[in-house]
Amino acid sequence: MKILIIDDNESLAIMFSRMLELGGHKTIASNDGRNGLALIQKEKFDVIVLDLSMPEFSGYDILDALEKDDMMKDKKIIVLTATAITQEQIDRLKKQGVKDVLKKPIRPDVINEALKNIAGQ
Amino acid sequence: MVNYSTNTLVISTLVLVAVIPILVFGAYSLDDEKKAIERQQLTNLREIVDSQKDKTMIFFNERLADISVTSELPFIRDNIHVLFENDSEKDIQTKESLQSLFRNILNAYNYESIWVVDNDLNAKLIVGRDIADLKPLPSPSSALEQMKVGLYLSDVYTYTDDVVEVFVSVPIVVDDIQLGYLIYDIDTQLFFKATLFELQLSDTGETVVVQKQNDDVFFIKQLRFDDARPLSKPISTDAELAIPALESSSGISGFGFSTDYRGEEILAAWDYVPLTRWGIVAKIDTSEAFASLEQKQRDIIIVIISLTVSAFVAGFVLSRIATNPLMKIRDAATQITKKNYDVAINPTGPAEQKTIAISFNEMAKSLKENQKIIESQIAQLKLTDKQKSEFSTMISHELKTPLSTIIGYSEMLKDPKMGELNKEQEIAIDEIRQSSVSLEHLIGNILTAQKIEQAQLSFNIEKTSVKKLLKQAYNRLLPLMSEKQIEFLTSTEEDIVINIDKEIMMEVFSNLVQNSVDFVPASGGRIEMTGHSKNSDVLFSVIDNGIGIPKKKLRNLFKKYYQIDTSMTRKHGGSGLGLAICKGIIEGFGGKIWVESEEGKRTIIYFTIPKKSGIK
Ligand SMILES: Nc1ncnc2c1ncn2[C@@H]1O[C@H](COP(=O)(O)OP(=O)(O)OP(=O)(O)O)[C@@H](O)[C@H]1O
Ligand SMILES: [Mg+2]
Repeated sequence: MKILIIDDNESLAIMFSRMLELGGHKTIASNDGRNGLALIQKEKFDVIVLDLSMPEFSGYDILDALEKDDMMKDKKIIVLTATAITQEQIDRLKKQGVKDVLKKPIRPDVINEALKNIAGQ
Repeated sequence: MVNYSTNTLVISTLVLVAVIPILVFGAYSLDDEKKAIERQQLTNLREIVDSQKDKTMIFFNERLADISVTSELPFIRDNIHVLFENDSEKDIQTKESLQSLFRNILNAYNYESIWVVDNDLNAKLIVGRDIADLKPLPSPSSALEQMKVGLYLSDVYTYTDDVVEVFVSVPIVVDDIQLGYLIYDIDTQLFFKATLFELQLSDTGETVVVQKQNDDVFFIKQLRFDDARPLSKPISTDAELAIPALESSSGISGFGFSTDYRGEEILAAWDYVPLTRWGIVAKIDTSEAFASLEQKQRDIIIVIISLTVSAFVAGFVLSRIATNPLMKIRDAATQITKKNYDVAINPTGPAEQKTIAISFNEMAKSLKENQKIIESQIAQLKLTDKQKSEFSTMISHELKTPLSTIIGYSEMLKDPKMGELNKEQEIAIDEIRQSSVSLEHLIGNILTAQKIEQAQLSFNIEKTSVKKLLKQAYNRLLPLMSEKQIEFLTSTEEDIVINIDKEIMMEVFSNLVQNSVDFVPASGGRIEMTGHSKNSDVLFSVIDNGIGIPKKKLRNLFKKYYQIDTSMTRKHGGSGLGLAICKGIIEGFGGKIWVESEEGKRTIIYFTIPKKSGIK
């Protein structure tokens, strides 16, 4: 699968790339929200792994922009969060079209399980 | 109430002091007065009745005496028979002489008329009013019927023009033969006028004269408050009214309170006059009799009212004078409780009040300064508290990101695709991973503890079965068991449904099971999670066969940062937050948590969750 990783923390993004590559996927990493959004609009990815809390242009901003351009439908997005998140927020994200919400720290088995689920859909 | 207590106290004291004695005195004296008036009035009335009775007896006895004398006048005695014989020249002369004699008698004694009648009551001679003028009822015959042998005083009768009369009859006996009667007609009205009967006692005072005729009782004298003519109507004998009249007419005397023919309340005295067979009542309305009493009552009420009013005024003025500066202070104090400290009081009045005012102003000023200091300190405290919690939340989050990287790589390194590791490297990576995991656990606990403290924990309550809950916990926690050789079990029954936040419950189970894992032996360990219905609660437990907890340490177990200092605990690590967090969560759901343990054998952590929990 071709996977885009958007996370402001560079080493974490790299780690994720490595982790997913170990699972046999192709990855592209972006450390900036705007840049990530541009990538999404330009290229086609099988799955997008998106960190919610980023400075300046956050994961939420990206989701809102995609929703506005009516581009959520064919996107498979997994969201990552370090902060505790309420069920309401999860529901809202899912309604926007997010496929899964994962809490940091992420373990290989967890993310692989999530990708497997999405691929199966 | 509190505000006006001084006024109220002074005023009510004055009112009480002034009014109560007057009331008591008034009540006593009014009662005495009433009795005195009653006594005096009755005495008066009885005297009137007595004198009326006397006068009546005297008057009619005199009439009877006069009549017996005039009837026995020699000329009358010797010539009266002529009236019963057939006319002759000589007789006419005698008749005329008799006639003029009777007329003289009539004029001398003020009789209304004088009649000579035969035994059949046919008139033989009439001087004055005609016998035919007598009212048909009672018929003249029945009236005259009563006039028996001897000097006889008749009942009272009226003429057709309602002139009320009494007749005295004297039998005419010549040579032992009764020829007829001599009848004298006495005008009662004249009598009533001539004697004191017409005297009206004050406004409502009245003397009433009554007579019983057959079964009826009649008023025989004009009533003061009723235009009906005498004898015109009988008094109803079963009436509640005019009881004195009824009683007196049938020979009973008495006095006291009663009602008269109008239904008025009266004081009355009454008596019977045997000679005329009359009842005499003297009476006065109670309203008049006790008028002076009412006046006095009114006076007392006026006195009370004016005293009360002046007591009020005096009390108000006094309390005002006494408390005015105090009230200013009171008002100022009220302002201060509303945090308005700019309430300087003008120090006036007597020295000690001035001092109070000055001290009060000083107090207000220093309160104001202190308040400022306190407020700024509180603001500072609030700020640092907020900063503190924001800081630790931030730290925890910031820690999580690098921790993610560390955990991610240490997990990945286990993958052979990353390249083979030698034994030593593998052990090192394991250590890194375990330390990272406990760091992750610590961060999670710190965040949860903080949320519990700030009541920020947001719950996601859903209906679930206890069985599912335990199954989920089991699956999540099973990986922990790989560290040691542990038998991990759950025990529950079907169909227990509960409202709960599953994720938070996972945190509870994870904390408890984590502890158990660390304290069971390296081999032969056994950990069981149970959930059973108990009344309206579900009773959960986490049971292990670990080292147990000493009795005296149990008490503090659920306190934050509490750990038991043993080598095993040191190895176990942790921060002492786990059980405190569990307690916070369980109590948040309205449940309870407690521990049972036997040192060296087992530890059981019990907790309950109300089935309908929701959140407290
Ligand atoms: N099952 C158990 N058997 C024996 N001792 C226990 C058990 N559970 C807790 N304790 C004791 O109680 C102490 C407090 O436990 P608690 O879970 O509150 O903190 P911790 O485990 O030390 O730290 P943390 O849970 O925050 O990582 C532990 O340090 C341990 O000494
Ligand atoms: Mg613990």
